Amino acid sequence: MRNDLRVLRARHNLTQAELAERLGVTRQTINAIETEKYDPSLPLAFKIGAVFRLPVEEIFFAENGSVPSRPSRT
Amino acid sequence: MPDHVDNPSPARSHWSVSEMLLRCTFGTRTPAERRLILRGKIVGALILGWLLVGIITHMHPKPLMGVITLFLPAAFYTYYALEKRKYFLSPDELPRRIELEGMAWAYSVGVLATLWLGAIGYVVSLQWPLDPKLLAWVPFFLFGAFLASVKGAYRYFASRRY
Repeated sequence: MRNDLRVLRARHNLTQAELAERLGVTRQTINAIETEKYDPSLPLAFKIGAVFRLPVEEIFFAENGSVPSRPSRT
Repeated sequence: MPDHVDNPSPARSHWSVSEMLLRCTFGTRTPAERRLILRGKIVGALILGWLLVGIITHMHPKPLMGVITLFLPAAFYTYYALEKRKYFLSPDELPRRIELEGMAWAYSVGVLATLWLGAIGYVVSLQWPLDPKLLAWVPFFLFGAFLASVKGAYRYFASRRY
């Protein structure tokens, strides 16, 4: 699973620690998600979506395969 | 991307090694973690204090003292395990996942080690009868020290993977 978390975080001018604090997780968890080494649980993905006011599928997307690929942005 | 929102260096992206290996936590300094560390220190100090008193006063060979010496770590570890259970509910999902994976590994290694030690111990006891006092310490070394090290090592390597 790929994601745009780092880009979104930069756009909102947030550090990993600040985002982690808002989400109630450790900074290492945010780092692991950003580096795409760890896929967050569904509740955490929705929390991330709520922070950036975006639907989950606009933050997380599959490169290819059985899950929907990255939605096109208009 | 501005510097302050960029990634920290890889070395700072991981949890503290010393916390993971020595304190069996992730070093996040949450209230639950601080509570566990404090209670763990108290429990460790009480057990160590008792052992030191036993050694200094040469009272350990007496059966009653031996029984207390063996029951004390068991009782205190029961308390520590209850505290650990409370702590285990506090970390976020990634540390909890690593901790769970570590427990699964420690369990598998523990079953293997118990089977092998049991078989080897039986063979050895045929030739050289084992001292029951020595056997009383086996659970402590196997589960208290060896398996805790297995879980600690797993915690370390798994945390480097993420």
